[in-house]
Amino acid sequence: MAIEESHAKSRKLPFLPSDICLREANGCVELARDDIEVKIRGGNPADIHRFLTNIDGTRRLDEVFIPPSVGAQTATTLLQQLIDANMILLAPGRESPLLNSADFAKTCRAIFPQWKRRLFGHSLWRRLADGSASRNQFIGWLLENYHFIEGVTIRMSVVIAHCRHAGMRKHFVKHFAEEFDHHHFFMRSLKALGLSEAEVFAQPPLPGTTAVLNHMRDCGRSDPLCYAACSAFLESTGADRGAAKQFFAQLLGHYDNRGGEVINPMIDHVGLDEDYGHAGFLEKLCNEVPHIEVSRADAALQAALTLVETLEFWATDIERHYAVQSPIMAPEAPRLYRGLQRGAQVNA
Amino acid sequence: MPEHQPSMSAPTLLATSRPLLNPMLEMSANGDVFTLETRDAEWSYKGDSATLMRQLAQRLRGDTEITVLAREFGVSDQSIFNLLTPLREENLVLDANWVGRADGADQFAGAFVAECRFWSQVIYAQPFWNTVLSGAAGRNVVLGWGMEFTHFVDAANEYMAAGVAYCRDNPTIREWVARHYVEEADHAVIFLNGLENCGFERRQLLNAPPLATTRALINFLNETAILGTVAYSAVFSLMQPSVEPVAPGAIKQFYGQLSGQYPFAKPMFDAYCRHALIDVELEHEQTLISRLCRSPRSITPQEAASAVRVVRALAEHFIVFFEGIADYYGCSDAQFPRRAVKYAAAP
Repeated sequence: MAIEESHAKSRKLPFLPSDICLREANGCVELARDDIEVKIRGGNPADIHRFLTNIDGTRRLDEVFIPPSVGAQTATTLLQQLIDANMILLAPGRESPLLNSADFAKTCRAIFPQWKRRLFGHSLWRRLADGSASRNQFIGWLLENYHFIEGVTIRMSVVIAHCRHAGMRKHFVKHFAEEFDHHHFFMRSLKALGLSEAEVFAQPPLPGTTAVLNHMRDCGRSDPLCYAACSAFLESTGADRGAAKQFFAQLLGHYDNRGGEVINPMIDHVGLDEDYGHAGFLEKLCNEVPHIEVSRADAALQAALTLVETLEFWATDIERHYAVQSPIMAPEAPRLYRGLQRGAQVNA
Repeated sequence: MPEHQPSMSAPTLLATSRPLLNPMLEMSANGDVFTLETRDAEWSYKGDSATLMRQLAQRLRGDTEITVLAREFGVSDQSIFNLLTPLREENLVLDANWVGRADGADQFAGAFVAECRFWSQVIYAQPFWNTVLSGAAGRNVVLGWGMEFTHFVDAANEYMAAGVAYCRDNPTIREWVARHYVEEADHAVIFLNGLENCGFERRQLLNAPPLATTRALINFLNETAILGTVAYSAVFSLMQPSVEPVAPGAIKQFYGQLSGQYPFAKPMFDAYCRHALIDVELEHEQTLISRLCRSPRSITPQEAASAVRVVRALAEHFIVFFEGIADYYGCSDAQFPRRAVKYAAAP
């Protein structure tokens, strides 16, 4: 059977994944992901580039405009080669609008480790681990962590309030009851660093922290599945007990001059979360809704990826702001955000 | 409803003012000359003035009263007023604690405009703007700005609709808020058309997800809309800090210059220009909050303080918005338009 016919028969919709870098360079078209690169030589690069950007998961191959210089035969051959190379994926066809939500959960579990590696590749995490982050950056990170953890009160409450599915909601309620007071662990750490509760309350979160909380609030208002996908990604970031233990040991060595009083509360927090067994949260939720629309799955995945991008911005914000500003602001004074560092500027 | 015109000039600095100097001002010293510089202007000080200004500049962080600074540097309050007043007139010095002293709608209105103009200057002094206005921005950064701005404009259907939904004031005020939203609801089409005319397929533009930093700005506006009419209205005073309409000729000249620097984006800048001219026609420089100040509805001290907090946080989110565009689209691997993630079936 001709490839074109088999694609038409399967009705699946080919798409170029969001994490593929597609570019025209050196007279050819390149597709790259992580350390894998595919080069397409020959033909008209601009037309091939245009053809590939139209492979967006909304049309079958026979519905996509194929530039005359590319031609139908080349298009189908190219498409199959890229599918074989995992550079083009297939979305369910329009005739299959529903999918098994357990499969959706499995997809998330397959994708999350890659996103987790991307997130923890940020320079802030490396610098905290190797001690090259300044003390202000460490304290700032801890302060923003406090706001993020305390922020479960204003994000998870939103998804509960907007979730009309009783089966899904009960899982969120249980999760909320197990999380709402965990900020006390981080307050203990901050107090061990010499901050008072009043000082902590007086420091508004950075825009990066606010962005994470507001994104999850937005998800909570939109669709509990979007929130659940985000929550599942967050839980997956803390699931590796060995890596967490190593990270905290490094922080202890570099930043805790109080014999563990600063870091131990965070270790206790991780332990408590593990005891609660939040790791299977997404699967429990999906069990309540056996089938979901493909469009809903797409939206939930995008919500989780937007969370990853927001968490990258969060790390950047902490690194940039606390490189030049103290974590403790003067009361009532406006925050100096991204201002030029005064002392360094003046050239005598 | 009777209307009176409050004074829109910024209140003068007082001994109890806590001045904040624009954190983006460049400083340099050469012999006995000390200079403060923006992209468009410079202020030079010599002799004793230079000595005092050089010391003061490090301390104008909005946390210390003028009278305390004067004692610290062994000068009179008037010496400091003399140095800071010209900068204040250019919106480069903010009286950080004015809101607690504002007495009545007139004082609030004038000081609030000054606050918004100050932060507007801070936003437009960020590296993104220096790069774009110098003509040095890359193609993807310019087009990415257009795409992310389209998302922001379209988000009127989120935060402005919410602003109407959460306006608990009387029907007259709610109609002002509703009319403002209705006038903005379909403006994203102008920008989509502009990007399409730059050679991109509309479907790809419509499917492109916003950057996380764009969503951060939009979500902040959504959350502010829920706070109530005054807080919600405050956001537009930062977006439109000029109380006088901008001359159409100036708008055309500005976007004409950008089109000359980035000819591949001319259709996009034509769209920007068209939108800005529509705003002038709709008199959107007459902001909601200025209308509230001119109406019999009083703004409580708590609402005034909330409006100031909103503007300061919104300024940070606009900084984030532009920084995010530069960070993402400035990378050689950046994809334009961006592609959304999709659920993949088994092959």
